[in-house]
Amino acid sequence: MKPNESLLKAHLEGAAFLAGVDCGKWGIHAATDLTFPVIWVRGDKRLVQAGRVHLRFDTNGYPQQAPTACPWDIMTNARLAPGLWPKGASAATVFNPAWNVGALYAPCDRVAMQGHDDWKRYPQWWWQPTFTIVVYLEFVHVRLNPADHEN
Amino acid sequence: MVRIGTEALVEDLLKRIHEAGLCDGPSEDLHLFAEDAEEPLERGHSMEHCGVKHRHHVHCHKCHRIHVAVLYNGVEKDHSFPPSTKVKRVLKWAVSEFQLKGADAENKVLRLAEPPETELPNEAHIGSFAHPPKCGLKVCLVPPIRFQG
Repeated sequence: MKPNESLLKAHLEGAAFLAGVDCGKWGIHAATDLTFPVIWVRGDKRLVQAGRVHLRFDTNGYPQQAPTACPWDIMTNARLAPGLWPKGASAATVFNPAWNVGALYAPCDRVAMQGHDDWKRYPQWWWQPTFTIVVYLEFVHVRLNPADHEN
Repeated sequence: MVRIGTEALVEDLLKRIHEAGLCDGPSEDLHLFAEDAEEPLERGHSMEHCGVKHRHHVHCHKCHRIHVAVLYNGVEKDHSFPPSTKVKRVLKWAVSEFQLKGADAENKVLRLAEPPETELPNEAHIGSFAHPPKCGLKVCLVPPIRFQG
């Protein structure tokens, strides 16, 4: 097992990840290949019709380097068609296929981080080697689940 | 992570939490709350008796209440919540207290008023952001950070 895979495995078995699983915030779809695991994140149906979005991660270099991920179609085992990406105010800037179909526009995504040093002023989300994949999942979960004051 | 049987006493779990270094201070000073519960669990009761079941989450904190001051448009409103209160409940209270409706109420989050201006995830417990001996925090009611550029 490569270093990125063994560390990711440990983080997927850690309390922070499992707490999110218990709450139904996220879960593993496929992790036989720990360099390219598929993890789903629950999303408000106002933003994500299916109620969850699957993300296929690339964890090469993890956690020294941030992971990167893109929405994944688990039926076809391919990138999710741009028309099916999450929509809505809090999600649209992060899920932006017009920018890149292979990554999320997020301060914890290694592709999006390039050229965005100004995002460092948000240390909660700017990837650091001490982070785990839970930070990435939490960032996505926050964007996909705006508070619903009607309920 | 601490695992314990549901037959164990709340007191036992507090000791285990203390031994694991998950919560500062002697176990006698700690309170254990069920999620969104108003009062701490009785120390002499079993987890089962308190309704805590397999994979349930509890919140351990030194503070019995967290005093939350919310800033919005230069106005401050405050209220005290149990530490295990989910952020979304505090957010809902704030939106109602500032009488925000429709588009004004939507797409709002709570962020720490002071650096690093952490965004408080809605599912998190408010007590996670208050560090004893301080049993309070100041937050801003704002739109989520918009990453652009």
